[in-house]
Amino acid sequence: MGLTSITEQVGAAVALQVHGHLSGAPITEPYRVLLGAALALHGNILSPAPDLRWTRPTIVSCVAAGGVYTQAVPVAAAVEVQMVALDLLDDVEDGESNPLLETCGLPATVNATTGLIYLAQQMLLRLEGGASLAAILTEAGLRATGGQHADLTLTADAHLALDTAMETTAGKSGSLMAAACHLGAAAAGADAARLRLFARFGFLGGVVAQLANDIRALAPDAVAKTDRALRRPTLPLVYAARNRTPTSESDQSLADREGGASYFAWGVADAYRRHALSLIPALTQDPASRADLAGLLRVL
Amino acid sequence: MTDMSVAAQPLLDLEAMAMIVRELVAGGEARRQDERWLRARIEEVGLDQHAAAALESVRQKLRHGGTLLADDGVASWG
Repeated sequence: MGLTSITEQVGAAVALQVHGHLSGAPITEPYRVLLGAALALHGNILSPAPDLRWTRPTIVSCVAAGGVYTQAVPVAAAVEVQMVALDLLDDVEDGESNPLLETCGLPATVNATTGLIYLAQQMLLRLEGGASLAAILTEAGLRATGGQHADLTLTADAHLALDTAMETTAGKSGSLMAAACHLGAAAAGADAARLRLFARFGFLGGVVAQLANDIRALAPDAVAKTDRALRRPTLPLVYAARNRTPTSESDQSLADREGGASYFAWGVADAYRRHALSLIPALTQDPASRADLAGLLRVL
Repeated sequence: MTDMSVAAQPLLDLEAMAMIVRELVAGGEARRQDERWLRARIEEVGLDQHAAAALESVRQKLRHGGTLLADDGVASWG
């Protein structure tokens, strides 16, 4: 049975897990309400329609590794909680707004992110083998925030190496999706060799997703995307910086604009997607799981 | 711990891919229709099969247009 047919049950189970941990956390009621509000922002795990962005790779990896989805629900819940914190911090760092920032202000929002990161850690530490699981998520968080530091301190100019831009992408999202897939496979009891394969698949998939995100941010009408204004060192923007022409960009087609920056980033993402697809036969023999793993890469 | 040794290894020759995309774009419609030119350039710079297939897809996208991206419900940060 593929994930698509059980998405609602999975989402409900993960949300229930998050709700239970939030309810039992040793925090004051006003702070619990604040964390709940963060977790209920649009698309987040306690919202009416969660997008399950991080649950999906975790659960799919668990099932592909031979487990059942319920085994991965606790780790998927922890990943979702940590990602709400990182998403909020990203909004703060990029100067973007969201309903929590608007209603509670910057200090309370930052304090909510701190609590969510602790909550995610507590959720993993309470599981059997929790120290190892918590270490996986912590390491991914450190790699991601290291990538974010590069993102915040470097600028997209013609002298920046494409490999440097790629390292930023890999650190930011490759490491997080690697951890999601690793945790899902670990929940199924996969051995070390298979865990490495799932982590590698996740890493490649995370890079694909981040590049797709970076391509979306190139569009002149991109909503809530500040990459171009802030000259973030994304792969397409670094390529674009090398290929600007004196003619008006608005008069050019997407293909010709900035030397075809969107197409370059798309090509790189497609090569990563193909690398990831080539790993699937080694991850699982189950046709439904193979389709679900391929589905994680369906962004191009 | 997650084995991230893959992250430390460059998977693609990005500079070579960038050069080929730039030439594809600059070459206009004639080059976008020239499958043999692309194959020869890929062979010259020695890209792997995944990069080669991706560049062929880029050539097709440039030729035929259309949207580049599918759905948005994927895992990325920032």
